Amino acid sequence: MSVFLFLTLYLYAVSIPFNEEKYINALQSSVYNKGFLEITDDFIKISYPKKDKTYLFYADHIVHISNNNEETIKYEDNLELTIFSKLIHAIYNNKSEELKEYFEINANATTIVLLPNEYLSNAIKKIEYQKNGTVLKFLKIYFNNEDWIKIEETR
Amino acid sequence: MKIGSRLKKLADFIALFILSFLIALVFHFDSFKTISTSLDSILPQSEQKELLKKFNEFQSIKKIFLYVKGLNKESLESIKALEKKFVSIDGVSLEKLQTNEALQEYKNSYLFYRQNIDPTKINVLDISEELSQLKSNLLSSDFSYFINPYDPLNLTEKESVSHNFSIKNNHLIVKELGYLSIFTLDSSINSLLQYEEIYTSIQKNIPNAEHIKVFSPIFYFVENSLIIKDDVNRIIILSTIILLLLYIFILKNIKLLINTLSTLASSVLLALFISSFIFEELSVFVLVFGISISTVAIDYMFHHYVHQYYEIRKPFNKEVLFGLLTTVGAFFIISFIDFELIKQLCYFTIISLLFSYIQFAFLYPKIGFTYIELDSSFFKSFPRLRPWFIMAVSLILIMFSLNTIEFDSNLKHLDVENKKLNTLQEFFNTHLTSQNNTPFLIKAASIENLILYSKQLKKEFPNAYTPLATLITSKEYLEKKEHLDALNLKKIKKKLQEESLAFGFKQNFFDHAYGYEVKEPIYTLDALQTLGFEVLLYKDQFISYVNLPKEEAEALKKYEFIENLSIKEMFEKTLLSMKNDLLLYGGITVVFILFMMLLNSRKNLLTCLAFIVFPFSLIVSLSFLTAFNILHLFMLFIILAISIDFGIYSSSENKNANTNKAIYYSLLSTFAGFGVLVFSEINALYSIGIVASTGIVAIAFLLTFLKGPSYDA
Repeated sequence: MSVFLFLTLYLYAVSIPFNEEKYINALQSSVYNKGFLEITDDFIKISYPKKDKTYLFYADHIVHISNNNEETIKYEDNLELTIFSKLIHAIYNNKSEELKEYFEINANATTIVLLPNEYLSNAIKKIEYQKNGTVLKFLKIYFNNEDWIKIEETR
Repeated sequence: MKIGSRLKKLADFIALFILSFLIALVFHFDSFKTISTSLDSILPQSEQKELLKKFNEFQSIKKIFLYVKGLNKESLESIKALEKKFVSIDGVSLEKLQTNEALQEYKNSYLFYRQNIDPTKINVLDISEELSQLKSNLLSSDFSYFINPYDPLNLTEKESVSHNFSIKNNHLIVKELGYLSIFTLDSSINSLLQYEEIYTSIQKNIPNAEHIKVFSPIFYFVENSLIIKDDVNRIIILSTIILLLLYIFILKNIKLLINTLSTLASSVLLALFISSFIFEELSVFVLVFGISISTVAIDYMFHHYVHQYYEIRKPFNKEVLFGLLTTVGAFFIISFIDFELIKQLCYFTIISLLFSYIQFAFLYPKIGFTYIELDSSFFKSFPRLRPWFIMAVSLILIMFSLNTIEFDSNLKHLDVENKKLNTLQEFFNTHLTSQNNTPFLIKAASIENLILYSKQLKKEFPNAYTPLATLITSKEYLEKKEHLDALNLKKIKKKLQEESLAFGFKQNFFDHAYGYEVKEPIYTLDALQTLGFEVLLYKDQFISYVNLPKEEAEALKKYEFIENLSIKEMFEKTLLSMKNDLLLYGGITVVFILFMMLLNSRKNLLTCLAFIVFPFSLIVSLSFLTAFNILHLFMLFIILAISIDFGIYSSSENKNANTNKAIYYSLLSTFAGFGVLVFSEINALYSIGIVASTGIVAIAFLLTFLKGPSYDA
């Protein structure tokens, strides 16, 4: 029954392909990945087929599936995943106000710049994103150690 | 003739004039401002008391904790809404989750001095394998992989920190339970008045809901003070009403009633006025006691009145003077006990009694009052007991009681017990720390020693919160430096820098690694403040605080640098140290009473003695029911001093029916004055009340059933 429900939800969910570039300052090089993003009412799914890795973000917990191993993660135990899920949720549902508790939001003509407050600023320097209609042109997370991650929708 | 009668009329109101003048004086000098509901006002002036005041300046021990049960959206919204209201209160600010940058920088700079390097790791260290692992982690992590630039190979032993709290939705939470906010009070907020304002503003904003909890140590100051104020007001109103009714019933003479009340009120006000200059703070208990003791002063009026001293010109009343001198003398002797509350009570009483006596003995005959026969039909034919019988019963009672008597030095038995706040405090204590920690003050001649002591405590109590233990001492710095030199960290760094290039690491990426060439740290009060530590200078000592397990309080006594500033502890220490004082001055009081008795009633010694021994035996019999605290003992001696008055009057050669009336009525009023104290919820007042009531019952019993000289006659 639950498998059926799960599949039904997937049928209605839209799968958004994206490219991800992770710049590693220590190595002065980037790692590239391709992934899919699915947003439903109940969860957000991010999968990296090549890495055989999937994250399912539910309202109160995260499920991490890798090499057929399933692991439940609490939001409070993983700051990066928490922020990432919040970002995706806010960006795709056009609810940037939900980010107010974490960031100071500055918008210029094309890009929205998020400056972390308090606790987050220990790890994240800033976040930028740009949306074109419903399409996410890019989302770039700058970390304090000069690393950054850039995600671009490719549909 | 006309002038004479006018003067006579004016004299009728002289007590009222005195009262009005004293009211003006008390208001002009705002004597009420010295009245304090705080318990430390009854502690002796000591270094500990001053330290307590200084200790209360620490912001860390004055935080406000807000908790909303549940980790759902509603709870988060609820706590955020409350946060907004709280921070709008002047002097209240929300504690930031951000790390103190200066402290972080300090921790990084002195990393290898603060944390030990794992020797086994050094011995088997394979730098190229470590670099390979680092690179793999960097490449495979989903997000950014953080390498500690100061210790990229994780050679230091990690600090094991276990918290019950965490972060969720960018908000502090108590793990698995609910959201938590911590507020800091501005350092300028130190007075009870300021605490009251904050408390009131917070309570106004808190819905009365089970799932919301707010606690701050400052709430104790406010709530206990309110409880005491309410109780004291209730007792004052109750005793005033009872006494008023009693005097109306007894005296039936409106002019005398008004004058007597004016005299009693003016005596209390004069005592308050003078005491406000003697004492920095005057406990509110003194005021209540002062009103009760004024009922002893009314004896002086009764005896003069019933013997018609106010109607007919008579020689001086020697017995009343003896009564006064005995009572005042006893208070004077006891005032040498080095305990603030007792000193305050004694001085206040002495002033109040003397001023009442002066008016009753010298002023009232000038005013003149017509004697209206008092009703005393109630106390007539009762079987009478011989003094030796009373003495024998008393001695048996004393013998049994002395075996069971215990001294109770626990302040909680004098204070109000705030169960609501105790429960809240325990909730936050157990949910924020893994154990029930309580703050203690630490003191040292230098900052260096203060750090050293903190470390010592941290070592012994690993779960303790000892902020200064984060810092390193000069001695540690020098020792560690030598050790680090021996470990050859420079070599590790060099190898790391060289080999990392082959793995594709950025040039200079490991520049900050394993650098320990930092200067010896110098700590000043300003530098410590920047680092976020609270250290204060008190006289020539530096003081700070640590949170240590509550149950270890006994074990902590061995450390001279720890001051347990719980008022309870301070009281216990003071009470135990003054126990000998109490017994010494109590003994002198008894000798003094006996001397006064001998001086006045040599012929009826046994009768008079019964007035001391019987009340004493009944009061010490209370030990079957309760342990004796400081105020029980204090009142025991006071009651002896009061009861000897009755002994003197009763055994008097000049005793007649009017003496009996005066004695009964003054006893009744004393009972009303002190008896109401048994209705107090404050143990300090209750203790005074129960001893006084027992003593008065004993005296009443003697007056009714003891065979006296009048009976023999």
